[in-house]
Amino acid sequence: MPSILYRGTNLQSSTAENSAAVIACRSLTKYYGPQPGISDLDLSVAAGEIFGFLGPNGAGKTTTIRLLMGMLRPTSGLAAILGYDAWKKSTEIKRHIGHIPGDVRLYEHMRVGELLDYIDGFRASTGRLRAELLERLELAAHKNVKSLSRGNRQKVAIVLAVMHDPDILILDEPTLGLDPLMQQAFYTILLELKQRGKTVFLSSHILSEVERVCDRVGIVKDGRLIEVQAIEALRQNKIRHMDVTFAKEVNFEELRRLPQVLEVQKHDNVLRITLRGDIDAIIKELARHRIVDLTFAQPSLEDFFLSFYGASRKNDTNNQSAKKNI
Amino acid sequence: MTQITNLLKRTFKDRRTSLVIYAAGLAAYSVFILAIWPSIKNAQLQQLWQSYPPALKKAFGANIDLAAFDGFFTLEYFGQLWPLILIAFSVGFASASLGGEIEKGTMELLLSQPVRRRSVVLGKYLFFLLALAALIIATLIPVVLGAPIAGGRVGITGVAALGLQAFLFFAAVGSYSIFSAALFSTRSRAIFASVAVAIISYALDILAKLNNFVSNFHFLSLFYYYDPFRYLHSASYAWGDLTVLTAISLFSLTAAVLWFNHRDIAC
Repeated sequence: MPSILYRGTNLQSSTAENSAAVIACRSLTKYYGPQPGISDLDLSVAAGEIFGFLGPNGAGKTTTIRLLMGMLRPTSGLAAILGYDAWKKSTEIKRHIGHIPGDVRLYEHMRVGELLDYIDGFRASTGRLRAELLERLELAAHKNVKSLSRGNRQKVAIVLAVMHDPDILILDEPTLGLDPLMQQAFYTILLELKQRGKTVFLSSHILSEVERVCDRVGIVKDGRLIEVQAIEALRQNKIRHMDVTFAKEVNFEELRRLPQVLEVQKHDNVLRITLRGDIDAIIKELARHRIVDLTFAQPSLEDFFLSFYGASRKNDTNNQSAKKNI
Repeated sequence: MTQITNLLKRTFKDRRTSLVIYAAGLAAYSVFILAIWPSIKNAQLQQLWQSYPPALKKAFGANIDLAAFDGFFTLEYFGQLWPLILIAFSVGFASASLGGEIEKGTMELLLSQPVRRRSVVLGKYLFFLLALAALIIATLIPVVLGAPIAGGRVGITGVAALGLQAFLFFAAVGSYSIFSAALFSTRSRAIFASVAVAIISYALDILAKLNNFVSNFHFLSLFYYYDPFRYLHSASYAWGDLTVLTAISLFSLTAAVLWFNHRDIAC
């Protein structure tokens, strides 16, 4: 039986809507006193798109989301949702938004069902997806909120955000605290919503999560948007590590000459190849030898950012280490 | 309106136990004062009161007849303990209503819904007014019903007048406390600011009764507009005072709504 998340209006049927930006930021800036939270942010998210907002902790992801949600007033610039000012028309646009905050805080004294009822009372439409979401996320409505684990609280936040079938989802680190199985369940829900043309703005510091579900990614650091890329371009650009175990020792000088290969480290019969871009030539070169094992290690966010900052940051780090050693 | 009703219903569910405890406590103290009245009404209270230092009598109400039922009730309850309890309730509720939600982070969840910020303030404020009215009624009903049994005399019009004055006075306290809660992001700061205003106001009231120079500024004290004996004894309304209390409430509430509408949440 198809999920009820598949039913209902398909927003993608409207091409006019697709062409317009559902979420738009123009020179969006927020200062906390003298400290910048986010500076001169320009981005737009189209209807039906899952947009990832990737950055380390403190980069400005939550500030941006709070500006979009009308929790914070911009110092300058504009955040707009569905063409409306996110600060001035905050109440109106929230009818179309489901939101998961970065730090989920719930009413501790309520039961889960009571909390869902209370939040339901602020919406004109009832949470018709509620029962299905509770079932799929294995969440019991009779449980006391204060007895819930971190992961279960996150599930409640997901139900609260999605149960009204909103057109736009603004999610701040939505899988925080979820176990791998529940993360999978959440990704499935997200992709079902995407198939129905819903727009999703998702902040994360987990590269694999963004790669898995997003169409485009904005990379933010120190309060500035560094890059916006389609997920395919991001895959091409990102640095990866390939660990290859050979049956016997091999000469890897040929590998070093390939433009995609950034670095090769050798430990006995194992090569760790740091590469960027297309792997076809590398695989062909490796295939000349007998391979026992081959794995790709997930790059860290640090590796990922190196893709965009080049070697300068690495050099800085090395210089600092060198100074410490001196 | 649906938003305010939803907030009102939820706040009632959350607060009903504490509200019942407050109401029962206030009513019980009224009964307690009624219960001790027969045993002391014939004592030489008026002479005792007259023997007190003039400054002390001035500070606590020189015009009060302690030998009369309404005078005794005023000195023992309506003039001292009752305002203390209802000020604590007003400040505590107002501070918890906004500051508590911001501090606990639930305000972000609430404002993620299509709910107007002003509805949040008004919903909480409306509940405060209803709860305040309930507490005043819970205090005064035992007085009206118990006075004849205890052998005391109190006019229903006097009790009604006291009820109205008390409602406007404590509503003013709750209103500036709501503004204080809208101003600060933590409950403790909001409580501190509101309590400081109450203490300064009380100190000014006492000093103004004792010092001629300070008496020029007596009108700046909120307690200047609270005179329970006058209302209970003669049911005479000081309309100017009641207007000032109403104006303080309206001004504070408007300021709270405007400030809360424009402030950052969860930063």
